[in-house]
Amino acid sequence: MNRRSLFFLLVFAGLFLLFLLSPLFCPDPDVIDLSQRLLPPGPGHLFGTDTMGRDLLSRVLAGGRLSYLVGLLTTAIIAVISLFLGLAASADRRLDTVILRLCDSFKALPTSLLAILLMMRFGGGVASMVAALVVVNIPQSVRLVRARALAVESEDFILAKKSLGLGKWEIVFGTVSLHVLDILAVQCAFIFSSSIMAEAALSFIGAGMGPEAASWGTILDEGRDVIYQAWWMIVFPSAFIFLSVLSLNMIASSLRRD
Amino acid sequence: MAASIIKRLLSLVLTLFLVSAAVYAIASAIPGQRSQILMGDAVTSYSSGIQDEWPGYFDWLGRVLRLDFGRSAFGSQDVCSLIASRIPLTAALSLTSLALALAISLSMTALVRLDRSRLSRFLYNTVSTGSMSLPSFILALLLILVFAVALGLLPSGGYVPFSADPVRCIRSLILPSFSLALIHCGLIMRITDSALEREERRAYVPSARSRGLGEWRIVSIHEGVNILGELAAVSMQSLAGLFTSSAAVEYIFALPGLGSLTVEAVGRRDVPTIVALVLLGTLVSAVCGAIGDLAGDRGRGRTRL
Repeated sequence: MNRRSLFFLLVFAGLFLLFLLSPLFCPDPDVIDLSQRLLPPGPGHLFGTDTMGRDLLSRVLAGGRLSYLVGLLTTAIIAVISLFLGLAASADRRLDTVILRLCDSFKALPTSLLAILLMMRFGGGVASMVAALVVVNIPQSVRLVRARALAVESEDFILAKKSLGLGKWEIVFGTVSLHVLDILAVQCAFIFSSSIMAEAALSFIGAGMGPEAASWGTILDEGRDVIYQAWWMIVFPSAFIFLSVLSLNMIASSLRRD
Repeated sequence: MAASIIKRLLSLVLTLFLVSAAVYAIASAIPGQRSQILMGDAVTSYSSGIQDEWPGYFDWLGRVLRLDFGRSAFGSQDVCSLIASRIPLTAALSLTSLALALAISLSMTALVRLDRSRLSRFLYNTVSTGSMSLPSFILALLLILVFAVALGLLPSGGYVPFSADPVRCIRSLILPSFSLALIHCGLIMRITDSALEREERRAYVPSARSRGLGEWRIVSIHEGVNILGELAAVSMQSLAGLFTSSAAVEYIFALPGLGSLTVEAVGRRDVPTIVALVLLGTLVSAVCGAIGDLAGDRGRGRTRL
């Protein structure tokens, strides 16, 4: 952990806290006031207002809450499933053939189009979004855990455990599992950042949270219609997405180097 | 070589088979297709084409192999000809974006390897990490704010066919290509840089230096030829990504390609069109992947000599 990665960790944690606590000090993001449409940033509304006169600061912060919720759930579910499947694949040859074959096939499916198809299947909302992103991202994570586990299993200390008479599954889930956690942590940071981008992009094109939800993607889609009048509807959500993704990518790259 | 091509082809066929089964399972279970049809009947009874039920898997697969994807749920257009009419723009956009991404990445990498100053290192790091954190649709919106709204230099959308007006056609593709290209630069730069780093340690480099060849010539010609395989592999990977994820950018710039067709189909819950787009995307990325793998293998084989 160098100083730069500590800085980005603080940025990420700060954003997380800001989104979590925003309901305490921000006006309701869903209150419509048509007399206050498209006000530029000013003292009353720090980020201005949107096409329906809603306070943009509250909406952007609510969008962050939604985005981080999706990211957190997706990352947690993928971490558990890929740890389990990756270790199982590394331990058993027959399981390995099946799991690897499936992962290889799904590598060719274009992730953005598959996510759209899955969103149509599940319907909108947080649970569907998380389900779609888990399906789309899982093959790569499983392959990564499996490759790392196989590398660990060829080392001498595992041979020593074997000679002590420990069983195959006991070694894999008891010892090898601890040695794949570092690579899994890097992968989790990447999944988190790509979930944030995917949620925004899917909501932007109308295959995500639905038009009434306060999501970064839907705010940007509304901003697209009024881009010649209201720069603030583009700049503020964009800045939050960029900062979130950048801090996660920097955390991931410093974890990888250690 | 022949054996490895046949092996790749067999694995390609198996992949497409598994993917088609998965797509069928997801798409045929999308709720609301039947009720949409029943409601839509009163309005669009003339468009008899809407499939009212999914055929069995092998029946469906047979139709897909004959390029019969059914009719679009909206209007009565044949999905296959609808998609075919949108391919040229997306193909052109993907290729110009790839060319732009390669131009940016290779010049940044050459800069940092030839001029080892702190400024060029800083520039290189900023572009490589910054580009990966800026989703293409956000870059597109920000570029419109700067170049169309504030400066008024370039159009914020719309498309003019090349045959109608070449200059306006190129002007309308500048911002979209740049938006799509930048996010691919980070990966291309990282792969080029690590490949060059490896080449730098080979015996021919000091030998070339001792013969008095300039650094620029060593990097661009001697090392450059040896990393072509890796460069082709990563280019094919980026090309597949560009071709299948241009939806938001084409929608923003109102370009009539596959991406904006995707957005239209999502809005209308047009399942047959989405299914055909997913299958086309899979075919393109599988073929790009196979070509990239072969090029990468060949490249590695040559450098080992």
